[in-house]
Amino acid sequence: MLSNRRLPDLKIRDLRDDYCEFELSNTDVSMANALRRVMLVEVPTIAVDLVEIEQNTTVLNDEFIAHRLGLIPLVSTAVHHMKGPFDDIGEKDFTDVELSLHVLCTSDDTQDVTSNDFILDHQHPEVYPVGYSDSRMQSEDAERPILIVKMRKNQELKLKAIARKGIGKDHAKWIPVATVTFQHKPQISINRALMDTLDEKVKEAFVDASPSHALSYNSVTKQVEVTETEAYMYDGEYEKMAQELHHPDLITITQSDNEFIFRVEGTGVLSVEDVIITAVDVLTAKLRNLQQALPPPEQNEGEN
Amino acid sequence: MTEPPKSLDELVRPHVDSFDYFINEGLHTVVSLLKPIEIEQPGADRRHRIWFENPRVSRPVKDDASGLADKRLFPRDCREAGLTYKGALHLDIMVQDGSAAPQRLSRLMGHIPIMVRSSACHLRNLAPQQLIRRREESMEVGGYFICNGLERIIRMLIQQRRHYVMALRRSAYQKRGNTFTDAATLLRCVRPDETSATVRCHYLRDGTAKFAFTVGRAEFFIPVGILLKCFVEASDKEVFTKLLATIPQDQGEVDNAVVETVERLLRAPSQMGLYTRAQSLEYLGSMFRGTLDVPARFTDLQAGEMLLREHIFIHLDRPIDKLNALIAMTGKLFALVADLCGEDNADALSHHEALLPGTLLSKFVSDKLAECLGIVKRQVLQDYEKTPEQVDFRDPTYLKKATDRMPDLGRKIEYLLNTGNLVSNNTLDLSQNTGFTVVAEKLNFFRYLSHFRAIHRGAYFAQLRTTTVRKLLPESWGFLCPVHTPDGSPCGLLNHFTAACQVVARPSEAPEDVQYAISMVAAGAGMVPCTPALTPPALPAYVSISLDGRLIGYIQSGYAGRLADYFRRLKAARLAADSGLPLPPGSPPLKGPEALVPPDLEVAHIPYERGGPYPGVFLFSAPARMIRPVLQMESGACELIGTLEQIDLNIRCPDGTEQAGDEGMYSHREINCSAMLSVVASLTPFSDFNQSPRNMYQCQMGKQTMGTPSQAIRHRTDTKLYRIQTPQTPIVRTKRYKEYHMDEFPGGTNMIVAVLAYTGYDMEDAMILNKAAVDRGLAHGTIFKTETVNLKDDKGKTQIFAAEMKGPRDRPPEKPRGAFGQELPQALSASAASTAVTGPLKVQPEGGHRNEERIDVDGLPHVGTVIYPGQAYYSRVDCATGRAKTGNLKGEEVGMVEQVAIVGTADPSLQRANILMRLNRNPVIGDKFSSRHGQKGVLSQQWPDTDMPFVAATGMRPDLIINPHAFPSRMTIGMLLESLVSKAGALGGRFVDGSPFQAADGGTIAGNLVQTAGDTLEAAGFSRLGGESLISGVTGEEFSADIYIGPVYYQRLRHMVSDKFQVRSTGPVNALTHQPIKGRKFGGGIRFGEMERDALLAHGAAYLLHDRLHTASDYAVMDACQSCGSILTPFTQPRETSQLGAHLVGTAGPLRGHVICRACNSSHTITRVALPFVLKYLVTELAAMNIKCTFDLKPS
Repeated sequence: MLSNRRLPDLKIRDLRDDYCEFELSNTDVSMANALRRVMLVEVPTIAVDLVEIEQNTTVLNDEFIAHRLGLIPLVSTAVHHMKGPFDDIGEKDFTDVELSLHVLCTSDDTQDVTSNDFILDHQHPEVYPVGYSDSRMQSEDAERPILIVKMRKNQELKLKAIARKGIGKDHAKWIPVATVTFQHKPQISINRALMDTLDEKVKEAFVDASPSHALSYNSVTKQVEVTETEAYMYDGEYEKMAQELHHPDLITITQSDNEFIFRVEGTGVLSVEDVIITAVDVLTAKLRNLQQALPPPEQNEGEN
Repeated sequence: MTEPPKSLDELVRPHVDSFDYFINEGLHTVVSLLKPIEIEQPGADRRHRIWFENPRVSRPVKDDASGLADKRLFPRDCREAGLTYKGALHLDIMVQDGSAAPQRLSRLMGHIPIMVRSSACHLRNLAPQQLIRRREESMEVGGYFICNGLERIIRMLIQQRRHYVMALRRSAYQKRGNTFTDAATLLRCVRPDETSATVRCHYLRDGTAKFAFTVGRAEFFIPVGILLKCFVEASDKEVFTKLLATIPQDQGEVDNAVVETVERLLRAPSQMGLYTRAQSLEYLGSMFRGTLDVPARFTDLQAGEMLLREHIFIHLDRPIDKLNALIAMTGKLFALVADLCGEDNADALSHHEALLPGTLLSKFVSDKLAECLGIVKRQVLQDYEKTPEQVDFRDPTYLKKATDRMPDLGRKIEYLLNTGNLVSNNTLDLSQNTGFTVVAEKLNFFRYLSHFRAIHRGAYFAQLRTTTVRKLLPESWGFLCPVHTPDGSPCGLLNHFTAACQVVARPSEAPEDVQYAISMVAAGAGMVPCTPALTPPALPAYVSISLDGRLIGYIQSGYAGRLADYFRRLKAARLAADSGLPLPPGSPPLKGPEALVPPDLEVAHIPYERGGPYPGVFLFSAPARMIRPVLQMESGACELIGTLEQIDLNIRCPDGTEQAGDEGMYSHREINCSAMLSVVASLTPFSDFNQSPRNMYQCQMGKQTMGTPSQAIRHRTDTKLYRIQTPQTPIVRTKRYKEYHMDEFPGGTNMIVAVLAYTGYDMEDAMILNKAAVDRGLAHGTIFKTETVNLKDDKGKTQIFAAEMKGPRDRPPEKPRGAFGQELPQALSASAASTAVTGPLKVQPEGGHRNEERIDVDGLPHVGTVIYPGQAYYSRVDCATGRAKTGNLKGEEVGMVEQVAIVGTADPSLQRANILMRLNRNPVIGDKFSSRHGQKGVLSQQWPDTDMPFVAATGMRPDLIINPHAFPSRMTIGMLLESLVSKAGALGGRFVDGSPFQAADGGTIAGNLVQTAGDTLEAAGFSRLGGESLISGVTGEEFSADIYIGPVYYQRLRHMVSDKFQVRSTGPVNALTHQPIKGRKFGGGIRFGEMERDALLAHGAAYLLHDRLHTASDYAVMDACQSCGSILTPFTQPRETSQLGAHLVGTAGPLRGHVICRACNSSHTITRVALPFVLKYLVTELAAMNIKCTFDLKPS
């Protein structure tokens, strides 16, 4: 059993609040995919889940507005000490964050109702729409708020929106990221000896064969070099070109099955770092769960 | 010149123009051409004449407008209140007593429905802003009537072309009489008031001909020889030469057989002793006096003249013209029989015209007004008989009394529009009397528009066994769309106009001046005008020129082409001048008679060819013709051409198959390749890459799409409206998309479509949607249903809207339950402690009445209330009994109250309300979707986002997965192209032009579209062929093949499972047979029929069979008698009264009564058996017929 055990390496290449690129190696595709899946749909966030509409005279109907509210990303740092509606709830736990909104259009022009019009829950001011800025302190550099509905004179929207903890599996509004993707790292090796037999023009044409520009031609050394391995898209263009030149061995490209490049794009709901760490936690918790549920390994197995 | 300006108005123009003409001029024409009635005073030589004058139609006003400042009735009012949009029609009744000056009596003839946006409509010429203020669509185009709140249109029908002699061979003609052959010529004559009559010339086996015409519904025949003599005083020789000149003579030689025939024809009357015109007319007069209702004082000669005037060639006034028409018909008949000219195809569009709304109304009104006069006449005659002293034509009160019997004309027209049924004693020269109107459904904008562009071949042809009428003929090129016709029974019969096709809806302003001018122009271009004395030169050296069925002259064959050319240049110049453009180069100056040549004049020049169509130059200026624009080759000017004209023109098509040497042969060219397509067909992108039937399917599916039907949904009262919540504009669109402002009514979503076989849930035209995409609002939709509650509908009751008071024994309201007993609302947490459970309403409604949480004290629902199936949503109280009655929500769906509109009526209390309900229809398994390429599919799964494959490079997951097997056999390359090109467009942030035949049209995209799109894709770092390497979302492994993925515009179709699913475990049964009832509406089952039974038998699935046909059907346990074998004789004897309740104390036997067999009088032979209940019914029925059924029962 222990023989299969490997310790994955994680090398971070780029880490920003809403973007992360890292290299995961020394593990299997199943591991990589599990991580992707968990990041996508099992990292809990907060989103509007129940809307009580008191007054709605806008052009959009109640369900439509409720649906739109659900899709507004809420900053979910509070999610870690929040309980879901179906969890066991103790004395100090909270499940609901109550946002409210009341806008009445009094101007003759079209008025936008945006995520900035939300009145936050005074008990949980840390839950607010992404890009939220209080109407009293509008600043120039503030992000454009999210439009909910447009109003004309005398239209009114008054509602209470209850935000809850949830996961992307239940509804896409709880998905914490814009996208998570991984790709197998390509391995490109050029047959130098064979390549040297080609003349300059052919080399240049060879490099331009694929739109991915993974290879480049160095005019100084007169060599074809692998510049951007990861830009390669497995489009098979280089191999095709090699075939056409009657040198099928000119280039060998294979997929690595234990090196993966991950790219995570956040939405501002959680920092990408937070998403990744939570995802690993969730994944470990799942594995621990599984471990506990499985019967202990039988002893006679080792005797064989 | 480029294409004429196109907008939506253009598309409905035939309807609106035709109705305008009817209202403004047509009615006057009808009235002026209506024959006055004459009433002869019995016993005195005094005649009274009555006729109509001065029809006036006023704009719609409100009925009870007394207290209102604005009395105008708007279409919106009619739609919401279920009224008819109609305006008053007034007529002056003119009564002339003897020779005294006529008296004028103004009378209201009723209210006639007004076409929206016509000149009698309040919305005429309103700008979009003003339309919105009137609660209309900003792009309201009109063209329809509003009848009881419904939008109905008079649909266009194909009719035979007027004033053109058709040569036909039909076996049915042989049945007209003993000596009749199958050959005949036929002419449809139309008067300016659009009343028409079809006359025929039959060829007889003896070589003569008979002229056929109809009076009322009866058909009459006159020998042509006699009729030829009746029109003018002319010698037989003159007629002989004239007739002979109409029969083509090859090499200047007349066929002797033909000469003989003509001679025989002309000799016939003399054998009957008819030598002069007077004799012939008198003969005819004497024969037809009875049928024609000729006044007694008329001589036979006058009667004969009347016959000619009113029934023979009614489109012509002058006898000489009528004679020429008869000669033309006879000549063409003889030419047909002698095989000198070919048979005309009655199914070809070149011999057709359109029946327009105004035309139909003109005919109808003319007929009804004549009926009105007839009624007055009968009334007066009756009065003369009964109370002659009261009849006084100078007394207005008497006149009023006499004319009061006239029926309400408006009601009759309303009936015609409401039902589409034409009620008349005449056929009105129409081939059908039902189906003239249809409801213009606003399912989506495609559907709506195509109602106005549709033209039907006629109900008669729908039941025809042969398919010849349905065939697509080359004559319809450019006028009817070859793509846009439905599948199935109306295929080929219901056609749609091409986008540029128009119908001439009105005659020229001064028709006589125009006709004169055309003759003058023709004479100037080499025509020899025809005069009675002129002996016409013979065919084919000279050909005749006729204008609207009237012979105007002859021209030497060689010059006929030049004459036609000259007319064409004039037409083009007039069109340019009318649209304010500079005259095309080389066009003749527009002055004198030239200035009067109408731009839509049809100049059909048919040169002589033995066996071909009958030669001649045929000019048409009358309305109802289909026309379309083409460009003249030489000048590049735009010209409007007609259907008959088109067959002899060489029109170049920009299809890229130009060959050397072709240059000189074309006289015209098409404006562009889309000229052949209808509006709906031209919105399919890259339709030139698809297999043709797929484009037809798309035309159908486009019309079934859930889109944006209207922008004024709040002011509509359609029973059902489909709307999509998050529509998008397509990335790939055709040029026409913008021209018709389709962005105002979008109907689909750009979905990221991956073409791959994944999970197996995409087999057989199923498709997978990404659940996360649906969560985010993809293809979400709503249905709006209007419930119109009219308390006046309950006759004899006085009711008001009011809430129902709570009774003392009212229990608290129960939670609503769904079809299978589930509690509503659904999908709630089981744990009451969870905050996911909705608490009681925070805002408590006031009231204290029943259903207070939904219904207000006024009996109407609160806006925004959720109504569960079966719940009450409005309540009415009967004023007499005080009892309340509620309206409950039907169906199994949850509705939301969108809007409550109260409609004011004359009644002081509220009597009518429109409750607009909203039903959510978000995508569920079983809903139908389609791309714009006839690729429909059913949603089979909403697949979790994580399990969807994703693009390795970008992380993109598809919204929709479609199986690659959908492509090879269907060959919808356009869809593949759309995917690729819109991917490039999306990356570049550009819309892409997907118009068909771009290359041939010399569009902006140079070279190969795939090439250009590929370059964009490559520049953005994608594969140029649209494939991307995808990773399975389940395993994380990459697919070995690249997957074709890109955005495709998908439509959601209105067929949804929620409207169709039918399941039941138990439910209502038929009272007689105890078998489950049928019908989805009633909670019935789906029939397990004979064929299904056969299938189970074949499989030997006996238990299943038993289950379906017995256990799950009418399983019944009944008593049977073993000894007599009857199931009818066992009888349950009631227990004696003393025994009642005995079981309670545990003293006596069974609970059931005592069963005995009445026949055997024993209870020992009774046994219980399980049988289908219907068997008992059968046995009972048989017993009623004295047939005994016995069953052999053995204990098992």
